[in-house]
Amino acid sequence: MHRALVYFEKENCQHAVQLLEVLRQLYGNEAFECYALTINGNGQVCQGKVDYVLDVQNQALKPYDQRALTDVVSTLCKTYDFDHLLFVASHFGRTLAPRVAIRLGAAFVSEITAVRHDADSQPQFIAPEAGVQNIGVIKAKAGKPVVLTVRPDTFQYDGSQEKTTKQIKLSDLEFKAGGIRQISRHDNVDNNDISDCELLISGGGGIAKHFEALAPLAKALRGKVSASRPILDRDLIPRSALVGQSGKTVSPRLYMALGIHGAIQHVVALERVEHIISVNTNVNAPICSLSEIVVHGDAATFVDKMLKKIMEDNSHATD
Amino acid sequence: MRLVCVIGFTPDKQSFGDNHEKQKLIWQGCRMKLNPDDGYALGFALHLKKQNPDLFIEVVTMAPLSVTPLVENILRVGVDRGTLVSDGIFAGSDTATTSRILGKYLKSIDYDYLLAGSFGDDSKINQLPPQVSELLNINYISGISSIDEDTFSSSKILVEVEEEKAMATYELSAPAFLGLTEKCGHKLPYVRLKDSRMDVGHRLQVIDNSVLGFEEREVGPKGSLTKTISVQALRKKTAQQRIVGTDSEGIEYVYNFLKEKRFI
Ligand SMILES: Cc1cc2nc3c(=O)[nH]c(=O)nc-3n(C[C@H](O)[C@H](O)[C@H](O)COP(=O)(O)OP(=O)(O)OC[C@H]3O[C@@H](n4cnc5c(N)ncnc54)[C@H](O)[C@@H]3O)c2cc1C
Ligand SMILES: Nc1ncnc2c1ncn2[C@@H]1O[C@H](COP(=O)(O)O)[C@@H](O)[C@H]1O
Repeated sequence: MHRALVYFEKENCQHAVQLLEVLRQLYGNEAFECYALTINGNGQVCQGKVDYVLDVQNQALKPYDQRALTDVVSTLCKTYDFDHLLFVASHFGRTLAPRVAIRLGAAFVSEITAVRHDADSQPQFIAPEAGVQNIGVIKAKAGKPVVLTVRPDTFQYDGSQEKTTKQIKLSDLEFKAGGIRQISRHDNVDNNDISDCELLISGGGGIAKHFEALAPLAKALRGKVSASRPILDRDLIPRSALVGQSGKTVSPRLYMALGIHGAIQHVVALERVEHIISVNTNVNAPICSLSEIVVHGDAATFVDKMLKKIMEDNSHATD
Repeated sequence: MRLVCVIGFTPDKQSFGDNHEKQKLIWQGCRMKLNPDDGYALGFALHLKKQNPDLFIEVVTMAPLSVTPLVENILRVGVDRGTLVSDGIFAGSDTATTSRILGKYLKSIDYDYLLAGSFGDDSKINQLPPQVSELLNINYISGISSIDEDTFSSSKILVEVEEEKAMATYELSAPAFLGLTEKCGHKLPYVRLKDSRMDVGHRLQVIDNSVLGFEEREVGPKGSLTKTISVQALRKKTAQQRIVGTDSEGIEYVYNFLKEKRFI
């Protein structure tokens, strides 16, 4: 029987739940046991969804001490002989997963977006590759475990199968802590959470010179402003508003792509968008083939005219 | 104090086109460019060196010899030593194997801190710092947006880190690996015209496998635990599509769509 471990980082439990969908795609109808690892957290979110919760309680184990966490995860992996270890590609997960893979001498595939099977029923992982439109099909050589990371919101878990969850309390795991100490930490007040809104007005290289024009349009449509990498590079948005592989995965009902080319690193984050409208001077830009409406022309002109139209109609409505 | 910047080069191409011979990407013959965030890490190291001329900076990269001119230019802006880890048998290594090769070299030298960009242009490059740190058994922190420069000469430094939902300050003991972001705010300077022909050959070393001594089965595709079977173009969704212009007709069309979907 297959056995997999999903790491439920305290701050990212909701995202970790999504990884259960990866397991469903990996194992299909074959029997498997799913273990959730929680460290100094409560396994509440896993109840009914996994077979076992490995509940590690030890206050000396800090979420930022990746060496100590690597000790713990690798020990557990040796004890339970997992086939797959899954991590959310979060700030800490992105460090912990590759460390664990090296420690265990395990194959590592990062930021997978889908799972397939080849003719011999061996899993293949799909992940973005360098280049504008390329996706790589990656296979792990024989041997276990295979370590995987998945970006938040890439997979959606529908929670259909109810499981009986057993708790395994672990308190005497060995690890070596040290060399790092947290001095302070304050929450970011992110007024611009682009990952859960209905409409995104998103700008790219093609509208960089007039990027400020997007905010009024977003406001008029009660949406938010997001962007592609060239806009971040010009310091016009905070990283929290970047859409794409190095930014966020988004799922608005409508995504308006203004002057965005549609590089794979950008569009991997759009898998769950309902409607895409793109405005581009080049109708052959890859984003256009994903769009329901393509506006062929200058993005800045479009924004100006669109805003005017909305304003006019608003004032008529209130006449 | 010794700093080692571990840098990476990525193909300077938007697309590899149809260059999928043997179903794998061919880097040979591709123009390469420095991974932008690694440039910030280098820029930061050079900024520190301005205030503290005793600081020794080495850059280390694993790449084909074709990046030599790029490394030479990095030496021309003030980096003390450039190390190019390169050997035909290293080609085709996955990231873990690249980490093991670089790790073996790094184990053989002295350093206080390793530096790299923390959001590479390539998610595979991003795995390198944590993997190398694991091999060297040192701490790694990513997302560093600033470093308290006053603490840099002591054995413990203070770094500020941008996490997803918080800003945090950590104290880190040397040796450690630091993953910097663009927020650290120092770009890699351009080579000045008068330095553009500076002979830097004596500060550049090539480390090949005669130095590192891997067996052939340990590196390259054979030594790698993952294999890219194919690289495919993104599937095209054939959505019902309408192309309009930015004339009033086009604006009207989009406007009505927004209305119909209740965005207005
Ligand atoms: C590993 C990796 C991770 C990456 N992560 C991300 C990421 O998270 N997010 C991200 O966005 N990118 C990311 N990138 C970069 C990505 O590959 C592209 O370079 C980037 O998305 C391009 O942004 P763009 O489409 O806005 O700009 P460009 O490529 O400059 O495209 C501009 C587009 O605008 C059009 N245009 C030009 N002028 C106008 C005009 N006046 N009006 C209308 N249209 C116009 C052009 O036809 C073109 O299609 C990553 C790259 C790598 C290798
Ligand atoms: N001759 C070489 N020496 C050292 N590293 C190389 C060489 N050729 C390619 N690489 C590196 O090996 C990895 C994969 O290369 P490849 O798959 O051959 O394109 C990348 O990290 C390259 O930078």
